Amino acid sequence: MEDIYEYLRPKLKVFEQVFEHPIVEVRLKAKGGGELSLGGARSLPLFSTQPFMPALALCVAETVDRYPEPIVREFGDQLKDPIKWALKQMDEVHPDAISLRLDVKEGGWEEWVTQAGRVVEQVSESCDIPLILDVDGNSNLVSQVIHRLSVKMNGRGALASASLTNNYRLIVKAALQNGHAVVAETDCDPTTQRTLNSKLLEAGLPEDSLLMDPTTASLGLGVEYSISILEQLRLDGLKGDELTRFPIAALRAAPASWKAREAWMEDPQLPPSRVRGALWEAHTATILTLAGSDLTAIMHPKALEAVREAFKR
Amino acid sequence: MSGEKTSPITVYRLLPGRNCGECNVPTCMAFALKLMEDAAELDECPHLTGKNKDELLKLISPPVRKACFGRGRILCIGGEKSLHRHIHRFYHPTALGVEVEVENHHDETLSQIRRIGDFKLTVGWETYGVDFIYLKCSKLDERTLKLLRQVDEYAGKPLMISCASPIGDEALDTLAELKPVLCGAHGGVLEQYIEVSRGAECPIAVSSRSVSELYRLSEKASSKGCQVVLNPTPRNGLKSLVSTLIQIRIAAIEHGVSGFQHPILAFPAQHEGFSSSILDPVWMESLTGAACVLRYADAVVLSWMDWLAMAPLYALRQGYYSNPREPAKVTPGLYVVGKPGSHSPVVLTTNYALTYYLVFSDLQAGKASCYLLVVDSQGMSVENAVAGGMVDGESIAKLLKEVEGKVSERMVVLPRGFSKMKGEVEEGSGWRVLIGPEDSAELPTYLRKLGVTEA
Repeated sequence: MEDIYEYLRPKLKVFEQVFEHPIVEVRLKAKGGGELSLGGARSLPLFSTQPFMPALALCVAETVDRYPEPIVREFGDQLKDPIKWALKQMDEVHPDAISLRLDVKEGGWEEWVTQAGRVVEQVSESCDIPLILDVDGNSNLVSQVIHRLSVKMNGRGALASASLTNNYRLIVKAALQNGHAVVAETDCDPTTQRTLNSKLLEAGLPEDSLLMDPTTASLGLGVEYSISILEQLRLDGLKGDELTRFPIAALRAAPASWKAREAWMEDPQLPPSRVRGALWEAHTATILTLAGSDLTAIMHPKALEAVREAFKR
Repeated sequence: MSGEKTSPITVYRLLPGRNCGECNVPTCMAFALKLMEDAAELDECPHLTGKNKDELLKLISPPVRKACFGRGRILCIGGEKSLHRHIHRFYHPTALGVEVEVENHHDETLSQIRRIGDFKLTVGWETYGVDFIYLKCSKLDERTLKLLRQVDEYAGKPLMISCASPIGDEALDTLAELKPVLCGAHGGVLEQYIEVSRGAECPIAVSSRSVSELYRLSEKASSKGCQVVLNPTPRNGLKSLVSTLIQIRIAAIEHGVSGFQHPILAFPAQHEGFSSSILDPVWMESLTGAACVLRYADAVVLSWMDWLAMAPLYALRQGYYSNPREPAKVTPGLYVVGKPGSHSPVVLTTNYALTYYLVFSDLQAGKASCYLLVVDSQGMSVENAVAGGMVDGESIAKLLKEVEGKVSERMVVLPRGFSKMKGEVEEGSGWRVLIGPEDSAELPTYLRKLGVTEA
C-alpha cells in the first residue's frame, strides 16, 4: 500500500485551477510617476500558486453627511476636510488608492462643481496614490460632472460611475482626453455588465483602461449575489470571454455594509455600532476580494487596515 | 466521480423504464431529472436493484462524501458537488461549533456548556444557535466520560472530541452512544483511532499540516471503512489556510482524488506564534472564519462565542448556502413596524426573504411606524415577481380587502416596481394607492413627508 502513496505523492503537490487567458492588466497612474497595477490574474484568488495580495482603496466622501452615523461620531470634524482626511489615512493605514465619493447637488450645481473641482485637484495633487472619481446623483448630471472634473486630475487615476443609465460616452471621452481608466458600473447582473463593457469599448476606450464594478450588495444584504456575479465574470474572463476579462473594482459594496441591521441596530448587549460596522465592512471586503475583486474600497480606516493585515500571509 | 457532468440520459438508461409512477413521478425520465437535482432518493424507486442501483449510486452521489455525527439531532456535513454556487448549489451549510477545553473542575466546564446551549444569535431573518461543541480533553478516563454524557444532556448538541492521550476500550460504549467526531487523528495515533472509530462507529477527523500527509491518513482511514473528515492545519494566516482548503476541494471535485473527497474541518483561530500589532485576534479569527465558510470548510470551530467572531459567519452562511433556485421566503401577511397610529399607511412588499428584510430594516432604521404587508410572490423579488406574473393588481386588491379590518387607514404604498398596477389595485380595492420611492432606504423620509407616521 505504501508504494501507492509514494507514487501519488508527486501528483499531490498542487491542485490548481488555472486558465490560459490572464485578466487584462490596467495601470492606474498617480502623482510622481507611481502606479497601481490591477489585473493579470490567471485564476480566482488562491485557486492557484500565483501570489495574491488585494488592492484596497479608502473611500473618502466629499461631505460628512455621506458617512454613516457611527463613523461621524467616531471621527467628527476630521471628516470635514476630505483632503486632510485622505492624507492622514495615507500615513496611517496606507491605502492603495483613494476612491472619492461626490454627490451631485442639483440646485446650484455650477457652483458646486467648481467647489468639487478644487477638492478633486487638491486630493490628486497631494496624494501619491491613484484617485478614483465616484460620482452619484442625478444621472443626467453625473457624466457632465465627471467630464468637467476629469481635467482636474492631471491624467491620473480612474473615472468611475460610467453606467448604461448615464451618458457613458461623455465619460469615455473625458477618459480619452485626459488619460484615465474608466470603471463600468452595473447592478449585479453579468449580462448588463457585458453590454456596458462592450459599449465602452465601442466608444473607443482601450482595453487596458477598463475596470468593472458589478457589486452592490454587502454582507447580510445579499452578498451571495455579489459573490456569484464576481465569480461568474472572473471565470468567464479567464476562459477567454473578451467582454469580461477586465479587473474588478468593488467600490460601493463595503461602505454600504453599515446599512446592515447587524451593523447599526442599537443593542446594549452587543459591541458598539462603530465596531460592528467596521467589522462588517472588513468582512464584505474580504469576501469580495476572495470572490475576485481586484480593488476594493473601504470607508472605515480600521477595516481597511484589518483586511490588509488579514491577507498578509 | 470526476468533474465531468453526468447527463440525465445516462441516469435514465439505468432506471427500470416501466414508468410505473410508484416513485410519485409519472415517468422514469422525470425521476432521472429529479435524481440529478437531488430532489429524490434512489430508494424511492421500488424496482431498482443490483448492478444498476450500484452504478446509479456512483453516478449521482456527490464527489464530496458526507460525514454525520451526534445522536438525536444528527448533524451531516459535506456532500457538496460544486466549487461555485452559480454552477451548482451548495447543500449542507458550514456547521459552526465552539471549542471548550475540559477543565479540572467539571462544574466550570458544565457552566460553559450551559451557556453554549442557551446561546442565540439573530442575523438577517433568522435566529441561530451553536451547531456543535468541540471538546478538548487531556484524557478519556471514567470521570471525563461521565462529563461527556453530562455535556450531551446539558447542551443537546452533537460533539467533536479531541483527546491528548490514547483512547482506551473503556471509552467505546460512551462514544458509540454519543457518536462524536474523533478529532486529532495524526500519523502517530491513526491506527488506534481507526480501531476506536470502527468500534464506536463514529467519524474520524484526520489532521496534518501537510496536504500529502493528510491524503495518506485519509486513504488509510477510509480503506478501513471509517467515515473521514479532513482537518488540515497549515501555518498561521488566512491565505495559508484558505488556499489549502481550496486545493483540497479542487482535487476532490475537479480531479476526483478520493482521499480528498471528504468534508473539511477548519479552525480559523491562529496558532501560537501569530502576532499582529494591528489586528485584534478576534477580528483575525472572524475574517479567517468567513473566508473558510466561503471557501469550502464544511465545519468551522471557533475559539469562543464572541459576537464579533460569529455573527458575520452566520450572516454569510445564511445567504451563501441558500438555494439560488429556491429563494428564501417569509410568511405572507401583515407585519407591524414601530407603533403605527390611526393614520399609519400600509407599505407593501414581496415575501422574498431578502426583500422583506431590507424593507423592514430600512423602515426600522428610519424609526418609521407603519404596517408592512407582505404579499405572496412565491419568494420572488419585486422585479422578478412582476416579470414572472407572481403578483398582479387583482391579487393585491384581494389582499388589501382581507386586511381592511386590521388597519386604520385605507392607504397603501406600493413598491415602485408595481406602479403599473396602481389603477387596477385602486379599482379593485377602493384604497388610496401611492407609489413608494426608488430605494427602500428612503421610505422613512417618504412616510414622514406624508405626515402620517406619528401615532
